[in-house]
Amino acid sequence: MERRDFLRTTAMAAATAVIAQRLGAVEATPASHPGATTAPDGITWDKAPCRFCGTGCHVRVGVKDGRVVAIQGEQLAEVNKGLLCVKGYHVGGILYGQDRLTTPMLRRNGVLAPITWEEAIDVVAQRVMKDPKGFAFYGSGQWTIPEGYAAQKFMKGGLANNHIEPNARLCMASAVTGYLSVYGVDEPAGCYDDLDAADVVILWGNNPAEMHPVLFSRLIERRTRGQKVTLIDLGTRRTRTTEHADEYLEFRPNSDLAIANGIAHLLLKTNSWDRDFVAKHCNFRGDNALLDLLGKPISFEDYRAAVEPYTPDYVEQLSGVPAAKLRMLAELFGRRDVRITSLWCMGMNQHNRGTAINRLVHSIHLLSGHFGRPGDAPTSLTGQPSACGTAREVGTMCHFLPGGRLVANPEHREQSEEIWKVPAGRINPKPGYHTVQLFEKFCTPTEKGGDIHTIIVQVTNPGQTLPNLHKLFLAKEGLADKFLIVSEVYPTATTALADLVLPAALWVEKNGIYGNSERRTQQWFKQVEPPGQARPDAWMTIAVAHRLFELGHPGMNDGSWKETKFRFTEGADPFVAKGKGIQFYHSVTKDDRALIWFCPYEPATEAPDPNFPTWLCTGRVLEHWHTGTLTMRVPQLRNAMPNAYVEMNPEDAAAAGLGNGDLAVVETRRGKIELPVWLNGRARPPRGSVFVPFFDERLMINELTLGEPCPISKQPDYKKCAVKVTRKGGEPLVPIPAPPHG
Amino acid sequence: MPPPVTNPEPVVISLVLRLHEEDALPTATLAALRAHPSLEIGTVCDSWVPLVAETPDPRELHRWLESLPGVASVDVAFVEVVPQPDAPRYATERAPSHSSLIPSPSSRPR
Repeated sequence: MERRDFLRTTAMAAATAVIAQRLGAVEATPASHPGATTAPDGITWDKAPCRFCGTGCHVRVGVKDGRVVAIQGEQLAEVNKGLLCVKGYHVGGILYGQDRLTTPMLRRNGVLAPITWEEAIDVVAQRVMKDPKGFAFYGSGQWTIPEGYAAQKFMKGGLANNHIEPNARLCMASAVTGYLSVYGVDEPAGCYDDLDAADVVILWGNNPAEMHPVLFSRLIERRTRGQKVTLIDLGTRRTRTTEHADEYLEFRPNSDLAIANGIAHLLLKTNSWDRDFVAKHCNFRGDNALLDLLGKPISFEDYRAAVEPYTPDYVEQLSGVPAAKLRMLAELFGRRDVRITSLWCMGMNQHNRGTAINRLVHSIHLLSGHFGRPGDAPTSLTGQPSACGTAREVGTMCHFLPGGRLVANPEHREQSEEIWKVPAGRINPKPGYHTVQLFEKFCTPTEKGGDIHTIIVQVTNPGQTLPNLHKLFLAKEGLADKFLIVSEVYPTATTALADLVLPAALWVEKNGIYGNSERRTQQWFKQVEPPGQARPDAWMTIAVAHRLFELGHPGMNDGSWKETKFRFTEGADPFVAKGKGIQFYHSVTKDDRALIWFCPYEPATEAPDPNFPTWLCTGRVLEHWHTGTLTMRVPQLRNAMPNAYVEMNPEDAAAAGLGNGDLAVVETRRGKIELPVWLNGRARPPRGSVFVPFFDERLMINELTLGEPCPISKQPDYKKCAVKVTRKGGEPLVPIPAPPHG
Repeated sequence: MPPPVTNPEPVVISLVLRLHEEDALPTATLAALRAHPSLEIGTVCDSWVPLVAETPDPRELHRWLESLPGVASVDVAFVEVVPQPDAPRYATERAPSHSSLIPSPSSRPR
């Protein structure tokens, strides 16, 4: 078959298999993923999450001759079940743009020129050493989880510097503060299953038909199956999503705040709010003078008074949404027989009152009790593939530590210092600059207070994505003492102003883990080599840390990054204090000393005697692993060592009338078995001892062993008990039965 | 102004079409699919249609399919990855002022 024909056949099989699975003709719930597989056409397929949006679809990547040659949807993936959106056409091709960056480059006299990695890492390290406090790290919701974690630990645990931010500040920060201030913890409570159960889906300034197509297609597919799913599109412009909506409610920018309050107003006015749910599970909160995350407690009456002005007429006046439509929304929320999912993304998050609108939409769900059941969920979708897993869960923002901890919280700092094995007090309690501040400081002359001198940027393009670019990015030009380091895969608007460019590995050119919008963590393994000298971003961060260690930076000299080849020895073991030479730091006597023991001789519990005159020792053989369950099923190993035996000293054997291969009766006080004798084989027991291996389930020597345990460790003794070995009644040698596993 | 990016080499793709269930299978749509020179239609199951195409412009085909009467959704199942032609090059040496890269409205790509 021609390659092209094979490809078409494979393609049709992929589409047909997806349909079969959707129709229930094929069960696709294996106990575990099959892993990489190679097809007859030589294409090796392995899985990876899609490199694009926060939906977290899984693909199968087809690799041949070191290149990605095909992509298909991963049928076993819960998120997308074998289907891809239109972006899936391009996810394989992103690796192969002609102008891929392949060499580190340093700008000299305005021109970028190639340098070695060693030089490049030294340049970065020297910039840190110049003034560690003025060094900043700008990363990404497209960082893998290890990349973000490495950067976070390097900065906060190593440099005691909190000037690290992900680009997720620009996309998800208001979702974060919304979740934190409502639930006390970040990230959605629901998951994509809500889309399969909701009766009503309200889209708050959200265009999932274009931005999260695979999720949107779950809703459309339900409709094609005849299910009623009401879509309400609340937006400031018509989009592709609007074409599928039952209601399009166009509102004036920023008036979503009024709409949300209007719904709350009506829920109270019509008494359709969920008193039980609120009484059991909620308190009320309002802004304090500082407008901070925690706000201040307010009473229910205060809350009622606060939403009182948001009558339907007033909200219509502010928003342009007809009062009747507002009543329609409130009536839906007031019903207990429907399940409502609210979805939003950048419309609510990239918002000058993003925290407020997030809080309000969560609050409507809580006030009406539309929470905690499949289909009843307020959910902020993420845009990037790992804004949840990396930027948020790892805590790469300037005020966070991993796992939702805060730099300002002493207990959280202590926990992180303990886990990272850094000295107490290492982590700076003061939050660093947030993204806008960071770049503002970077683009401000040093003499005018611009105290960030160097930024390293990984996996993002602030030269295009920052707002107010002239102030926050382009103003860097001409500031000779400011240094921009950019790790990238292609030239961008950011590399255009970079002083040092580092070529990065992309997607399946490295191992990785991403956490998607619904808190699902998904990993992949490297499948192709990166081009030229491109390296993973985690490697770059660790290499810089290593170079700083060599340069003597105090934050890097605890040595815990080193392998410990020789424990307790100074220089090799990072926990041995300087000058100690040898230090037993786990000392039982708490004085860095190990213990020299005396233990008296004691005879074995059961030693040879006139009735059982020989020592029995048991053990393993080269060919078989332990009890032979695995290896006896490998023909070559079984043939090499087909059965157990008793290994004897030839003189003992002769005295018992036994020759090589004769059947002996091996007996202890606990039992007896018959074993063929092996003389002068691979091992030579002395007179008075025999050896029997334990791998053979047909000839189980442990029926004979004593197993007297050590009184302290409780481990049984398999190596010594008393045995007698005799010829089996003068009978001829009996062939060993064939293995049952055949 | 960078040249428009095209991919002259056709790529093999497979798609899964979902037709609206409440309608009878749209015969005109199915006929149009079968008549298309670049499409190979697989076995139609209920309202699901697998198809394979070789096309230099998958997105154009995708849009056409979405526009057909009775088609509820079009999803991608398989894509061949072929080497791309020269990508627009943003020089890694210092770029000109960003404003000069803004295309005039008439030449903006759709």
